[in-house]
Amino acid sequence: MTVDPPAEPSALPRRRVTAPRRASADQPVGPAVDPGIPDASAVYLGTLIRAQLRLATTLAIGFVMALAAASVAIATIPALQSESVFGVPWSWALQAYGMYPLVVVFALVYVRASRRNEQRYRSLESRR
Amino acid sequence: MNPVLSVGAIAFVVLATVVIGFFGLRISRTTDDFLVASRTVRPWWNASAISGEYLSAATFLGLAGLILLSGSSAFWFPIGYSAGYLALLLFVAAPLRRSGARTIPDFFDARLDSAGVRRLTSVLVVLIAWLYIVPQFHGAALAINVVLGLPPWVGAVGVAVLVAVIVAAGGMRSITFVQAFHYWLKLTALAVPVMFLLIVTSDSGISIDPALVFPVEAGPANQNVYGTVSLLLALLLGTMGLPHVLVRFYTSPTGGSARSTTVIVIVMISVFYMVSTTMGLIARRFAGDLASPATADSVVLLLPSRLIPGVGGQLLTALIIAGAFAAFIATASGLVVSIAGVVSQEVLGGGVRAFRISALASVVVPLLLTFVTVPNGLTSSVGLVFLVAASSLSPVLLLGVWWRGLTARGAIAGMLTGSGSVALALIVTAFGSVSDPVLEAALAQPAAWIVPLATLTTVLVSLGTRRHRSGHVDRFFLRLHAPER
Repeated sequence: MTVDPPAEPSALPRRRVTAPRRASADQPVGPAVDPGIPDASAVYLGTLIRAQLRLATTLAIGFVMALAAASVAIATIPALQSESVFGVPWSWALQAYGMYPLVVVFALVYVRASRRNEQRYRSLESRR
Repeated sequence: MNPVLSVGAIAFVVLATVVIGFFGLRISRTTDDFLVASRTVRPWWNASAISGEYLSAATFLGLAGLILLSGSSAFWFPIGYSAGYLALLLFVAAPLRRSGARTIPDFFDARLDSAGVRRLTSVLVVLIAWLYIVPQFHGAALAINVVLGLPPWVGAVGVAVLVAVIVAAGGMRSITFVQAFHYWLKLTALAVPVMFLLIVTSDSGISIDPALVFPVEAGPANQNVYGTVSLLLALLLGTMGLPHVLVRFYTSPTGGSARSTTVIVIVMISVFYMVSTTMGLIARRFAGDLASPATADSVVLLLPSRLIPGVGGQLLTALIIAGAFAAFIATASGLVVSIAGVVSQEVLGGGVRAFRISALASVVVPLLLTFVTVPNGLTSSVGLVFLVAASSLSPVLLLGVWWRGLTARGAIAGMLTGSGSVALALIVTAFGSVSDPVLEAALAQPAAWIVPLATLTTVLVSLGTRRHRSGHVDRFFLRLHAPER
């Protein structure tokens, strides 16, 4: 990182983000940072992309773990095999209907959090 | 079965489809109108249309049949279809909308600047769509056969002609309206009969031992872990690779609205799956005699008359027929729009006339495939489509959206590895004899090894050809990931 963006220096915790990319661009291969984007924008964008990817990956892993935990519980708790609700064993009923709320909850959390990431990016961009 | 009511129901769906399609025709004029509805479709409309298109013969007729046939392992199909939209929301919904591309080949072209990648994705998109249209035609053939006693080809050809005419006449704009209407029709056509069946069966006083119709051996406690995990992986990743699903996201006005649309879609399809699942549970209780591969898919059509004798049952059957035809028409026409868009741009050079010719041509091949293939369970044939999409397009799509290092050669290698491995697994399963049980399971549900293999190939070849990285990747990523102002 050679150029400091002309903004308040205290509010810019983003230098570490570009360092490794610049190091790899030392070789005479193609340009690592597109000349069409100003430096500061590239930094902000990198931060946004990383934040969004981290969010999506975390939620995906969380969803898979929740699904696995629910399935193991449904398959192993003895009372769910023997007791019935409206003539259907609890284990069947839970697996038939119980997973959809999980999907919806994770979707809502993502939409909210991703919008927050984008708002943070917008406010950084507008301060330049 | 009352033929007059059934024919009336089919005529109603066809007439409503044509009328709404014509209404749409009057407002579509330009190429953009035809292909992506001028990007002005509101989230609720768009979500209804996406759901209408996504709920195919597999979930309308096939899901209850599969629950009847194989028990609680069938529940994973709708769970996977619904969670597939979660994966799509998390990783690709907003970036793909912001990319501004109209089709998947457009996206890869903009990302990688490569004619080779463009051609290969076009081939895969068309192939996936064909494979997906075939079960819709099989479903139509089955429904016409069961309800009217006519030879199966009548249903397949009838739906094919209808879809070709609707798509060629109106393009995506009218398809959006038609499919939004079809979602609500499908939901009503299944929910109303389910409600009546539940009322009738709870009044009947018949007590059935739950352990008999819902045995532990077919229940959640006794499932094949590898098979389930592999199937879920295919369904989760497959959704984002389906051509007719992606083309819909280009019609949202912004990336943010593409996300809201996806959440509404998840709710809408989940509600439908719960209703469809209920039908399957009723079928297990009262139609155990239909639990054979040849008859299971027709159980939804037969159940109402069996439990509610007289006009009531016939009316409910007619309603289900209407919903089933909405399912065949909506899914097939969405798929035809997506391949017609690709074919008209790739082969015929674009334009409204080229789109019309491509739409007609896009129906003929799947129809021929329908005649030469044997119906093999609607749900599992659709599961195969998700497997192909998840193995060939999805890994490369994910890397293209999130990894700057993807190169054209990496993408081609990954797509060829994925689709080639699926083809190999299918051929060995169909013609070879495998004695090793581990190998047999790996070939029957191959997503768990093919998806990582295709991803690894893409990454390694991309790293090996990093000199050929796209020069404008940073500007492209800005467009994909930065929110609209």
